[in-house]
Amino acid sequence: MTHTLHRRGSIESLSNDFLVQIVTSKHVEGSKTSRNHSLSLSIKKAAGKLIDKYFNQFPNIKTEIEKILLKLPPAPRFFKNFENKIIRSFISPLRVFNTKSEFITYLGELKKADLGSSVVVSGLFKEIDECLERINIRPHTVQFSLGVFGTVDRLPEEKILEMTTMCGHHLISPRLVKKLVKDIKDDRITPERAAELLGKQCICGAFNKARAVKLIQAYLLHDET
Amino acid sequence: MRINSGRCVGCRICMSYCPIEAIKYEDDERKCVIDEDECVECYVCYRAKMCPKEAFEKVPLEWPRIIRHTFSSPKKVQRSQLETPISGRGTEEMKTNDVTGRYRFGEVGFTIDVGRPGVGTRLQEAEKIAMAIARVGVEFELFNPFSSLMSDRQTGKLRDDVKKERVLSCIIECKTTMDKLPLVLDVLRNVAKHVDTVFSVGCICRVNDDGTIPVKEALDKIGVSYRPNGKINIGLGKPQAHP
Repeated sequence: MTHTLHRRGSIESLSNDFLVQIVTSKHVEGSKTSRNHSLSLSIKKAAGKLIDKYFNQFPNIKTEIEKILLKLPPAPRFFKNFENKIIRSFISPLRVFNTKSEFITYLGELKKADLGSSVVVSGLFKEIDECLERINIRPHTVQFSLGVFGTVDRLPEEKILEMTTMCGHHLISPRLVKKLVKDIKDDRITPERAAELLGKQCICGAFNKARAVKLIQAYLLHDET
Repeated sequence: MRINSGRCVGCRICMSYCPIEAIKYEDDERKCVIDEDECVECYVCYRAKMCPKEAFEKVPLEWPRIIRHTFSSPKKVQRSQLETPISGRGTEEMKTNDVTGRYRFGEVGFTIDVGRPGVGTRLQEAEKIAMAIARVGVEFELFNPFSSLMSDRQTGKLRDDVKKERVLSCIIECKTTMDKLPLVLDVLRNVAKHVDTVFSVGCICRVNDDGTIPVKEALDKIGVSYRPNGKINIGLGKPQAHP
């Protein structure tokens, strides 16, 4: 999926907006057996439901447990696969970071944990390159966004797109953005609350609430001038 | 999805939530209704739970309408006996390229996200794009939901029964040799004048061992601009594919 590729915004507004996706391939080159082994899939689904029920509602606790899991000492080779499966079931497949230091720390942990899953990072190329160099990681494959083609006159204004394109599947309505901005102007909610309400529509977790607050504040200023 | 007219009080709160404005207000009835033809079954309205009267109701989706839901809702709520042969909206693409080796040295991959951002598309519009680039010899990705709806993967032609279906977005995924990159971009610029939607284009390639990026060099050479932000697979996946 391309969902973190087409985020809009100026270089300034995209600065310090980092995403990390962990993906385990269903199609392994040369593998004779598909990873969609039914038992393995059932276990993963059951684990996913448990995690969703008991941990996803408490993001702070989940983050702490993720940190512990990623710092586990290396398991004996025999158990390594099993350990990796447990960790991969638990840790968030998509995380957002607002500082280079957190981003670098997390990537370093993933590199050390050696989960075997692919890791994809999104953000400004210049900033990502600097961060990867710090932890001695070399890019493998790159994807560029060439922008939007077609009936572009149907698109909402850029300031709205900056917010709606943060949702990986574009589930945030431009009308909702405008409504919430109006609510802020009418003193009914704060920019932080507006960002929270927008973020609720994004299921995949690609929406960066901290960035959204800044974008909303910039939009309010732009609207006033 | 439908709005139970008996419950709806016409407050219009829901209208702000639909990402493609498929919810309309009927003045004479003073109620909200979903334009079924425009609705992409993304279930944003249902999941948001914003309706004070809980008037949103799921309608069982059969083929081919279930395609809308499959492509538009990241969390599939409905299942049908007949669905897209490959689930979801897109594929692993470059995200697992370190393991799958899908895009190799000397190749360029394209992801054409039709309907994005936020306009939506009928599949027949995506077919126009697919057929245009098929003519210049791209290879469509096998494990892609949109490709799985093609009646002919050589030409990019879709099955007739799915063309009218509307989705929030669908991804055409293909690849070709790096030297054809300018040609494919020309074709995309041309077909863009003939589609009734928008599409976002992504370009993928392997990074050379010396750190150079062939797609970047090719785009710079032909003066095509690209965004300063993008995606990088950092090569931690195992087992690593042969390059």
